[in-house]
Amino acid sequence: MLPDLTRITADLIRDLDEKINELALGEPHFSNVLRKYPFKKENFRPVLQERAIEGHTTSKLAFIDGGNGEILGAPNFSIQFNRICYCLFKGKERIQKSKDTIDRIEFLSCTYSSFRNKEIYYDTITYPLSSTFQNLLPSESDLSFDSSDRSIMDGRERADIRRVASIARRFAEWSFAAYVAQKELEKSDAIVMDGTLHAAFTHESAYAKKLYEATTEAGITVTGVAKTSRLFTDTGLSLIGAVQKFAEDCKLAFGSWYLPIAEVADMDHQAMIFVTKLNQQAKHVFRYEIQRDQHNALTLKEIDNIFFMLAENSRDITFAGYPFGCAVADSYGRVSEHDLEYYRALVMGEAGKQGNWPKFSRHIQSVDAHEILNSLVGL
Amino acid sequence: MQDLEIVGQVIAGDIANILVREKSGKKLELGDLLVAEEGDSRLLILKVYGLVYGSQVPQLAREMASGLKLEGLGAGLDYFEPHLRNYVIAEVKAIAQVINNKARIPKSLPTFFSAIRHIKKEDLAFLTKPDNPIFFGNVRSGSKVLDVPVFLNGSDVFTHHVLIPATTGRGKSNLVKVLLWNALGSGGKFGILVLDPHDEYYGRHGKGLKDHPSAKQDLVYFSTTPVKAANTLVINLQSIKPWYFDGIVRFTDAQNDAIDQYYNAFNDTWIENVIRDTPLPNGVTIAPRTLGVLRRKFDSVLGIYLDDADQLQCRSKIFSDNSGETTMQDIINSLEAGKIVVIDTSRLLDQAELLIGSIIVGDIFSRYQKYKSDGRLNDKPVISIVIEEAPRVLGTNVLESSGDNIYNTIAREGRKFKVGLTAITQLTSVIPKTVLTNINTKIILGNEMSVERRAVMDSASQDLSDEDRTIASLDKGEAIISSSFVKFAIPIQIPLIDEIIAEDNEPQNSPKRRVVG
Amino acid sequence: MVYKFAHLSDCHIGAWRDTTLKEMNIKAFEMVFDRCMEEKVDFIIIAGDFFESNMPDLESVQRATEKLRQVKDAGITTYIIYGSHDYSATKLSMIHILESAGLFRKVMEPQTLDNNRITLTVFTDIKTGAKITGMSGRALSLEKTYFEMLDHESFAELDGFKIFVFHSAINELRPKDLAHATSMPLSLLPPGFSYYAGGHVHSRSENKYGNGLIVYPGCIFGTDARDLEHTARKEKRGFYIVEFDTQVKKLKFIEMSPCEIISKTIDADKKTASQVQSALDQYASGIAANGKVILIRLQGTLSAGKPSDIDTNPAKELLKKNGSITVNISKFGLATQEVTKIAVMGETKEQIEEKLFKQRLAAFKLDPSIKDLKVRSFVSKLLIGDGGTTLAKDLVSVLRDDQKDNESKVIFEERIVGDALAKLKVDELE
Repeated sequence: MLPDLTRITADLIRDLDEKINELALGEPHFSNVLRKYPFKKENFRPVLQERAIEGHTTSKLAFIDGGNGEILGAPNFSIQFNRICYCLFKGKERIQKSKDTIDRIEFLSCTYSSFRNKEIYYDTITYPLSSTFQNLLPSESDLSFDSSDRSIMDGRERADIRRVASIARRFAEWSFAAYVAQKELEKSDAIVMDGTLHAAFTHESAYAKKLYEATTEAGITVTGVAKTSRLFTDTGLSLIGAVQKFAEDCKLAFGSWYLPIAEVADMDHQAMIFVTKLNQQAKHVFRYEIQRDQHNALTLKEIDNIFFMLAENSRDITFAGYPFGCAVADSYGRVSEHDLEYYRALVMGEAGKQGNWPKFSRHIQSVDAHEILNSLVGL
Repeated sequence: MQDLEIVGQVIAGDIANILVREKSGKKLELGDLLVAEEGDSRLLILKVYGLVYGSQVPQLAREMASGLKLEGLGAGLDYFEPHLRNYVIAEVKAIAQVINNKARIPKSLPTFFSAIRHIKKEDLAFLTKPDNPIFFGNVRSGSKVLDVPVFLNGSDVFTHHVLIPATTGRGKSNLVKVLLWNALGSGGKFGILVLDPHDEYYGRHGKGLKDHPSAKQDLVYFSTTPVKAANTLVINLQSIKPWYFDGIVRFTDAQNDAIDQYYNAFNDTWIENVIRDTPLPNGVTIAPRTLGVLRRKFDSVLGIYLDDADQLQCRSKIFSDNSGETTMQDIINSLEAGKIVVIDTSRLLDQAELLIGSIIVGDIFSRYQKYKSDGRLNDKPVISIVIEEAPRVLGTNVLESSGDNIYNTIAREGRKFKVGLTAITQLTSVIPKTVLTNINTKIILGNEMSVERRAVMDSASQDLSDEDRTIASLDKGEAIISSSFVKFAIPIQIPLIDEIIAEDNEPQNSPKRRVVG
Repeated sequence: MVYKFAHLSDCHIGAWRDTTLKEMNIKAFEMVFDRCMEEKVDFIIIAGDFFESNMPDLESVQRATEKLRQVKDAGITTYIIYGSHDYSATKLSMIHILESAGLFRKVMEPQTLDNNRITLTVFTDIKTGAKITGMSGRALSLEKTYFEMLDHESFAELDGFKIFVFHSAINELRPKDLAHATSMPLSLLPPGFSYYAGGHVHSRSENKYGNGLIVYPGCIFGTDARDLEHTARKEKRGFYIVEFDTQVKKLKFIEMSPCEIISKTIDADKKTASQVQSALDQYASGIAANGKVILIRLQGTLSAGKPSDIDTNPAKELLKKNGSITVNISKFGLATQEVTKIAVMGETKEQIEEKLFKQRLAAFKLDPSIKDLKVRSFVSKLLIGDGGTTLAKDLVSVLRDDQKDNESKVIFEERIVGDALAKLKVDELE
């Protein structure tokens, strides 16, 4: 007898509706925060127009994003191609970079496992594609991880090597941001990182710190936009969803707004967390973070100004309410399969030349089984 | 190449379809001529034959964005960097490679990512003025006209035949006027016979060839209703030989036999004697019915009949038994002297017009054949016969039903004797391919009928398979010259005859003439 | 009331070197004028080329003056225009003198309208009221330009019987043998006249033009062998008498012939020079020549021998002896195979010679001081175009000939000069 799918799905949806109870939005749920801001209508702040911001300055936003992809991989090694880019906007206008500024860094990295002190270690070597990038890459000693390092572990499992292999890029983003700030930005400009300001990995906070120090000195603000957020409210709802519901319930008089959520002051995460809707037409709201110390040093007007600049940059009709610079930086930084094919051919060619391909391929085959299965079922 | 000149960049494609991203605001046009510089005085000339949109924004997002705008919800929203994200891709093709000022057929792609610019006068320096030049127009890039005149060797072009395919309103008549005007200024190098069924070239009622500075010496105009100083189109019946009717009037075997008998017996006066029903010598008789039919045919084609006083009369006044004895010779002598002879056939019946054409063309052709065998052909000017609605004599159905005619013969063999056709037609497709391929030069004007475009393209000297849209979009006065005498199919802008006339007729004071005698 | 006038043209008084033919020509003119008086015409129109040249020999002038005087005394006015022969732009002409003496009324009197347009004075014949005007002929058909300038509108208002006198060949109306002569289109004649009295063309024709008639009476006798050949071939010579009131009532051609003319062409094609010689001699001995003008033309390409090999003197002598009043034997139409062979020979010096000749001849221009049209046409026929090349080559081949072993110097010179002159066809000019 065939399962009664109509009934089953009806049950499913009814249950889900019951569980997601928006009657109680709750409060933002943080395990470790300095200060939480409860959902209150008066906490919403409109994104003001420039003329409403006293002492408004039109400042620049530098968007930093990067990507990486595996060229060759096995359980015990991963060769990656990494790219980090930036773009510069003043409102909706793109600003040309200075002539001598590097607009991107690209490097290959090789992460491999080794066994020492009775532990499995993951080590990474970086290979810049141009010597000019050398100074912007993380030092290799910072890229050596104990496989039981909690910051890289996936729950209780030993970390997947690919996760580790992406760390080099993550570190380089901080360095590159500092580089861009120094080269292209001036007082009251801001950096927009891709993601949160959480320096989750061991050694990462040192890179973040360097950026914070350099920018603070120059009067530049470091911020981050997270496309996804894993934050919850204490009633178990998604934080982003809850804020959206709350905003609707409040029937706000303004179309774009920002709402402070929490102030975090960890060693590895120092941020003022907001949720913001950057355009009236926006379908999405985003989590937005400003470096905590820098935030605290800003006046309200200066904060208004940052949101204003961000909103100005989010008026692109194809993705209203999302900073256009983020999209541009993402498309620049994205590593395509085409890129990977190219380097894969080079690397494999070289391995063949040096005669060690058979050795590497034995290890690769253990991962490839999956792909073989896929090809068998015609996927 | 200066940044300001750049209009696009090669981004992809293959030899038959190179894709060029258009620099925003440069508005490339169908038919634009572009250049990719290859260094070392090498360049590739490219032609735009297609334009498509390109976008970095996915289709759905574009549709949504458009919806927002259209529905009034997009206030304050804009396309960021629209010129970067939405653009035009031009589909181009290399039409010529220029190395050290010499053009050849391109066999390579432009360098990947080459910057592309519009063509400039200097790029076309290889288009030099040949011997016996005839000016066709200026090189045209899209709808932009360059200061580069296109001259072709008139002797080559005319002897190897010219086809002017176009529908009404695309500048056909202007083109022919311009062509004739320029040939008039050539100092007697080209003898051109123009059978003008619309009486539009001489300029009876307005401006025309008669206004050319050389018209007095080199233009001869025949009309049944001549204006002052023009010649009367009157042809003596004795000039008409039986074979002139070939392919124009159909006779039965019995009729042909009768004609032969009369021609043998009376020679030049055969028609008169058929009409007068003169008995044949030596007791030969022809069935009265056959003669009756012949008389009716002569009446309907030539308009010749006997009046009550037994006088030969001609309804149209073109044929006569007592005047016009030298008309044919006058016409042919004028052609041979490198003049342009315009014959106003506007008041003639179709068959009479074709017959007159056939008489003149037949005569000049046999004269030139004789010159060739005498070794004197080199001293003679090239002859071209301009025939409107060419399918009347070159159409497949005509050639099949009425057999070979003089025009077909000239299409096949004329070039050996320096006699060529300039065939004008709206319907290229009904002319047999064998004839079309013999016609070397095609001056292609706009044509909205795809069957006709296809027929022209299929028989052109260059591969025009990608030009379909371009030809369809040719505006009045815009043309493409395809010929084995040019390195590539050259887009041209044909000047307006009225402007040329005004230009060539700057008022000047003629010296006062003393009249004595 | 019906009037009548005589229309004649191309008397060419003073033409012919041959005294017999010259006399015949004048005699024809006298016969015409006598007939006019007999017919009691109201006036006479002479459509040009009354005299052979602007200043003909005085004897001929005297004969003509006498007749003109008789006609005038009979109360007949003679209207005249210049032809292409009897006008001179630089010198006095006899027509002008005789007009001053009151024997003619010249009817071409141009008036300038503006830079590009002229009109013509219209004369009214007092006796008949006929309106007469005309355009003189000019050498080399220069009058065509005047016709182009002529304002047709100025004659539109004329009424009554209108005559336009002219001396030009008309494209549409000229006979086949004038195909290469300069002429003008019919449309240059001003429309609306009742009668167009034409001259210049030496053969007769009548044609309609609008509601009027274009009439060429042709020459009255002729000025060259070709004219006489035409006469021999039944072309009638004479003049027209036209009866009219407001339009032409009757057109009558009056034939006049001072003597009988016989013309013969002997076909020389593919025959040897000696074969042609005997054919000529045979023909001469077989005809009744008494009192006749005899014209013989040798024509064709000889298969062997040269035109100069044929001696025409015996035939001439014989015919004269038999009573012919004049004999003309023409070798103009003869060519020889031998010469043509040279022209098609290989690539060597002949070809180079030919090229050189062609180049030189291309630059050749007729000396404008030569006024005699016949000389002009003779020289240009001889030298311009392919004929010149052939002549030059013929001359070279003649002059190249060496003295033969048994030939004295005098005989050699005579032979070479004779052959060269034969190539130059100087005998044809007479």
